[in-house]
Amino acid sequence: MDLDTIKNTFFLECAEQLAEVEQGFMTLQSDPEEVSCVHAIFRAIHSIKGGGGAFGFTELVEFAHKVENGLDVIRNEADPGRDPRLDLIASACDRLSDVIAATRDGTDIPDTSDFISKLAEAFAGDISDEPEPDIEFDAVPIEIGSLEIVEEIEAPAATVHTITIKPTLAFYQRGNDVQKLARNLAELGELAVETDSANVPTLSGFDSSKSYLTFNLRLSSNAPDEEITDIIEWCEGDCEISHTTDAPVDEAPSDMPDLDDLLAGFESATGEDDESEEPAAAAPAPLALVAEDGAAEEATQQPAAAKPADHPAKEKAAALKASPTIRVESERVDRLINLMGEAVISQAMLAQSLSTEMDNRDSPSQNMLREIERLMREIQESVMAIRAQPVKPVFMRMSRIVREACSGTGKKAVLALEGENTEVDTTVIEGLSDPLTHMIRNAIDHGIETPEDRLAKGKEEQGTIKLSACHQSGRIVVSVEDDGAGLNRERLLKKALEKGIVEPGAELSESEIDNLIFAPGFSTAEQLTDLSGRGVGMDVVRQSIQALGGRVSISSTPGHGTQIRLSLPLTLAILDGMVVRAAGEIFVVPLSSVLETLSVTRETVHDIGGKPVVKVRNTLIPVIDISSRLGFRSADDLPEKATLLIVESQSGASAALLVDEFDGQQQFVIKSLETNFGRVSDVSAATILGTGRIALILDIDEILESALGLRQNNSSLLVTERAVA
Amino acid sequence: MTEKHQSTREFIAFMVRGRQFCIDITSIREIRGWNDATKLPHVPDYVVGVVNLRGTILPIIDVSARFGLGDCEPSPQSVVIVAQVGDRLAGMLVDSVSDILQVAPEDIRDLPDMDTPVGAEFLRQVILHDEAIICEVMLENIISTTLQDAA
Repeated sequence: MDLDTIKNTFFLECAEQLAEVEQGFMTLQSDPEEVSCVHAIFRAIHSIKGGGGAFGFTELVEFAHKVENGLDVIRNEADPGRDPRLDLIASACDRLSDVIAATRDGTDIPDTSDFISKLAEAFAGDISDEPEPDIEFDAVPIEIGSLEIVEEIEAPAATVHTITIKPTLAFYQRGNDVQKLARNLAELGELAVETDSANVPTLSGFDSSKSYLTFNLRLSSNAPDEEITDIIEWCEGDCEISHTTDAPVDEAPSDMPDLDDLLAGFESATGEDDESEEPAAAAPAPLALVAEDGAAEEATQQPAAAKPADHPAKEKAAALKASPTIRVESERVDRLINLMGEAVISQAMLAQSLSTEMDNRDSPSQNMLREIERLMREIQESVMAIRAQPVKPVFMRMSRIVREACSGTGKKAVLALEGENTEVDTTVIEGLSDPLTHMIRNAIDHGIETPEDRLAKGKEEQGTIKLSACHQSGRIVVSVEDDGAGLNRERLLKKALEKGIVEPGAELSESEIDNLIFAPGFSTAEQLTDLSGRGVGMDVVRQSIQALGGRVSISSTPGHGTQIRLSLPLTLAILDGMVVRAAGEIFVVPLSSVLETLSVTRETVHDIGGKPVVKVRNTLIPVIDISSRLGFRSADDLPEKATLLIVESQSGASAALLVDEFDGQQQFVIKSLETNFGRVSDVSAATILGTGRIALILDIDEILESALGLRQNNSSLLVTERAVA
Repeated sequence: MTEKHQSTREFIAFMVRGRQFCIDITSIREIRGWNDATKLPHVPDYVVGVVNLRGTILPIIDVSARFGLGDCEPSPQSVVIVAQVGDRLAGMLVDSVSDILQVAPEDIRDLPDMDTPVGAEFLRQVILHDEAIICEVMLENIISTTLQDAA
């Protein structure tokens, strides 16, 4: 492993830490009581600082240190979650992530002096300007006193805390130090530290990548338990910690059993849960052992009753920690997926040749084949699941965008997330970040009104941007919704006329006007701020979503806000589809868009203004003859008997696809046509059939929209065409 | 192997409508027989369709049609030359592969200024081989112009 690799790992970890920071701020926004988030943010910043220090990234470390100092002040406040200075810290963290990015890319480090002075001002008096004490390991003598000494100096009313810390390797890797912890504890009272080196092996057996030392700390202090817990909690997860409290010495019953025995019992009773955050539990324990009367019962039950209340907080803290993950190059997974695709195809081929060779569906080989089929599907799902990721990281990044956009425009807005745990293929997630960023900036810049305007309209001063994700019929729908002013249709139309996108006198429906914002070259430039004036229009958003096989739709209510919905495929690799034949070719229709299939004779297909329609249960549905649509057969050549596939597009329009035959359904591995060729209209991708032949996957949305002249999603295109005509 | 051999280049010669052309052997991945291709809608005539090359979607270009020499009628004798330009693979449908040429640098000449039935944008240079004069085709144009047209 060379240094670059290690640095890379550091930056990857930074990204994770920053995500944690975002998560922390998000949680605090909705629940200021969630103090553990302040600690989580602090820990994350601290880890970044520690790692940065190891590589000598001075600017990064210095700035992180300032932020950390500020946070340190906040987290010691009585109500850290509501400290107004958290906003400043959040912005500073945004800047910190810029600094990290610049450090990673080797570009100019952004100027942090403004934040440093703001931080200094905000926390004036709270932090000394002393530079960070050197955290390198040096031999500062710590008194390793025996227990007797502690007892001697014990103040009568002081509580004795016995803390055992067995750091794991991760503890040191994060730049932590027992010494520092000890120093913090020493500020609260008298501290004695004993280093247990019993586990240190001989030199020959020494493994420098292992952690051998255990530290026994005995602190006698009058400080409240929480303060001590706060300090220790810091390294929770990276250490095995046990913390027990001894009741003030003079109050202890004289016939108290030997403390060590009790502790041993207590520890074994709690088993793995050695965090022992309930100091009170230790004290009543002897009582319960000694006396069996009701009072004692009550005494023991109290901490037990207190525990459930404690639990949710603990669980939330646990939820903040990510589940163990493996970092794998996406290329390796891609290779696996490709192999998987090959296997699925071979299996389909085998199935096909077996079924032609033998008709007996109950033959052993047929049964075996079905078993393989089942396994393949399962393997396939698991392989795909490797690439599935929750959209959360991308969503979290957006809270930064909201903050930046707000500070740039002087507006107030919060980001609300919904369904952020919805999982989707990584390639889709990667492609989401830029369009979302742009849409959110747009929403704040154009949608959300100024605080004064909002108050005047009787709305809350602070706008809300709702970002949500959910699964819907095999696709993921991501929506960005603001409660702002809505689209100004008058201005949009005026603009479109000026730009020649719409012909004068053209009658446009409301939704057509709304869709104008997706027209290429369209932007309400006259009032662009530096925010949205970044050369990216909504047309680019639409393009990048379409590149992912997605659709964009918009709806807006004047005065109440705008909603933009993105509908994306869950994965770019696998699809459930129906096999149809038309004009001697085989096509695949995505199952998610098929509503039903019907068999019809030629007579049932009627003609309205030269266009075929079919009556299905009292509804007239336009018919699209796929063969002629694709140019494979002339339009008049309708077969005597045909099969209709009633399909629905993402925008909700439906039509009947006329095909010659329908061949059942199966799973398909999606193969891109773009890799070696280019985009083909009406076709979204290709797949390989069991025969080894290629079949095209039809792009139902595109076919329906252009064949039916739908304006829903495509209005800008149609309007442009109209203008040209 | 002598010094001279190291500087010689190898070309694959192929026949289209009775004319001989060649491509640098380094861009050729493999040579296959003809299999029915799946037709693509809304594409230029010279795009025959796509075939399955061990899991890869391979577009097939009818070189004859591309050169404006008329559509080729693919037969079992037809040959597909799988060539690579950059990251993209494409198959060139030709009548047959005729030869492998070992060409010394001095036998490679610039294209003379003249109006050929095959557009100059498809020809790179000429190769003098024995008594024959063979044009080297500009593979990237045959393939990538197609991509632009289709996009």
